Amino acid sequence: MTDEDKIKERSSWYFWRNLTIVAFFLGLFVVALFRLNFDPRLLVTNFRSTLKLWGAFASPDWSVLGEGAQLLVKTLYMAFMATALALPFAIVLSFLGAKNLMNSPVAQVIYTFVRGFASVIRSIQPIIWAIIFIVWVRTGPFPGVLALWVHSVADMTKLFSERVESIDPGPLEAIEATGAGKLLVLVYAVIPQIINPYLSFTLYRLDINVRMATIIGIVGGGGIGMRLYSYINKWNFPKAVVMTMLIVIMVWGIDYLSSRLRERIETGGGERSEKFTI
Amino acid sequence: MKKPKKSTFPDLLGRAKPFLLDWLIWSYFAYTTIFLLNSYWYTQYVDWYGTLTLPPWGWILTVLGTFSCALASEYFGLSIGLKALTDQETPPTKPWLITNWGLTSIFLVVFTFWVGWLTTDINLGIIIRRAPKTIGLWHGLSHPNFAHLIEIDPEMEGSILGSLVNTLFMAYLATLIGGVLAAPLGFLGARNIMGGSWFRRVFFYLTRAFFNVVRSVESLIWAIVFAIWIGFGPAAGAFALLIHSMAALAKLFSEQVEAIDKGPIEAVQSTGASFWQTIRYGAVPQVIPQYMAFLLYRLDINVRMATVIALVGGGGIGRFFFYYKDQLDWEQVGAVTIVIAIVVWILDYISGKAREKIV
Repeated sequence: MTDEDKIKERSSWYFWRNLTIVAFFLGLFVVALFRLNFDPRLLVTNFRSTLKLWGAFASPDWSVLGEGAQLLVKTLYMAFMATALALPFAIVLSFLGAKNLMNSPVAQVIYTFVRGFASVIRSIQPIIWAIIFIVWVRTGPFPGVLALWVHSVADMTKLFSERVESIDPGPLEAIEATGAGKLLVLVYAVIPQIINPYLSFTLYRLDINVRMATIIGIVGGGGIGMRLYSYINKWNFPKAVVMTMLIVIMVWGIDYLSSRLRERIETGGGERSEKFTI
Repeated sequence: MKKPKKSTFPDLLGRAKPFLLDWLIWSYFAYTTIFLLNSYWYTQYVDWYGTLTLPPWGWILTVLGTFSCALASEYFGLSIGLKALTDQETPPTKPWLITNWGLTSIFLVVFTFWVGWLTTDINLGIIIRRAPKTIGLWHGLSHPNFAHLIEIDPEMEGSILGSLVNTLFMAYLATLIGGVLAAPLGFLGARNIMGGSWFRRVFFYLTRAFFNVVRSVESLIWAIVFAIWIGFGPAAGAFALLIHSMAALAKLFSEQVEAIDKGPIEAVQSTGASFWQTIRYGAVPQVIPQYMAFLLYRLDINVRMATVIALVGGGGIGRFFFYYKDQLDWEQVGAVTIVIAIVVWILDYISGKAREKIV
């Protein structure tokens, strides 16, 4: 068999493989369309049912602006408290959940336990946690904070410990070679390598928590989402529109700030890459 | 390159930003101080425990006071705004923490934490006091009842696994269609592609604004809109996830397009290629792997979101969760929660592995 034949055979194999993959995903797509009755034509034929909603954008009811601003601040505080309270827990758990730091058999058990718990907890949405905490401590911002806190601890533990696992082993071995104990290794070899990624992940999580805090009110978790949902339920769109605008401004602002700060942390405050236009 | 002529106007603008930041920080201090005063000491101007109230002249005083504080801090060289927004290189003379910058940050965090603790009604006692109320909940969740896992629940006209398939399909449709729509939007929202002419720049700003606004509204709120629009059901949920994914993917994607390497673009341009050919052969091949990774990442997020979108009429497995929860049937809630956790976990794992392989 010549090389050309080999290449031909290989490329035909790739062709059939890719065709099968594409056909599979397209088939799944068609099945999904029919199973969910997903019909974009409905958006046109049913457009009349949303006229009242879009009309509200033309005549927002600004009388709820003050109340909305206060709720907005409360929502921000919810996100901040959840992130701030989750940080110390996540830092400690992240070391226990890092494979490269947990070598002994007992430590392996702790590692498995921490990571398993974190995975299970972060698989469940904050909204579902909020329902559990509402049963526990009744409605208001507090169960919202608790729900975001639980989810943040699990999520940050996972992100942080993955980060610890990918640190450079060089400094670790260097410090160990001096005969330093576990704690000294942690302080001098691990922490300097992870402090910036931790900061960056925390900002990222703050951003997510702000987004989540705006909707956790739907189940009774407090914040601006609770009021927004009640206005929608009362079919009071002019007021709901004002609330939505406030949410958009806050989420946008926090997103911008968080991504700017993260960029600064990741590049060490240095120059950004050269921009060019085509 | 010719240096732009220095005028007083941009300089003024350069000074305005740090000043506004200073003013914001001082106003925030004023806000937290008034909040704490109101929540600890009942004055004649407080009409409700812990709300922010001031006498009418107090507002004017606060605005003027913070304004002059900001002016003074700039004058005496204590400005945080100048430090944060301008690039003045000052060699570190003392430890970070005891500089102006460090002290202010500590104060800001402590005050925010204090006010946050009060304003979000954090009460650790209530967790312990009401713990016995949750015994039924934990008992139910730890003794899941899988009666309707496959067997159809007559009241819900479906089974848990059947609605799980709906949930996965919702996420799948939303990711696929959203991803396809996001690809052109991502290019329209990239500064380096659309910054060339005045006309293209208008398009750039419009696209950016559109997907930033759409992205800021969570998919649960979009689900309410679509439930009103086309009626309750998984299709409304799929539309809500779709529009949010489209905007979020377009944003991620446009950032990726902005970060592409200049080399291939110039190489293609040097052959005399047109604008469209440059994009097709210079830009697209550079972003395809990242694009696939974003799609997988988004699929993961959509599956998570699809599990709760039933809360506002979006359909899927959440329908069972919220129905059983309303009936306080914690054993069935436990079964649904376990199914959700397993599926999300598996998808998270697959998506993570696949992304590792692509990037």
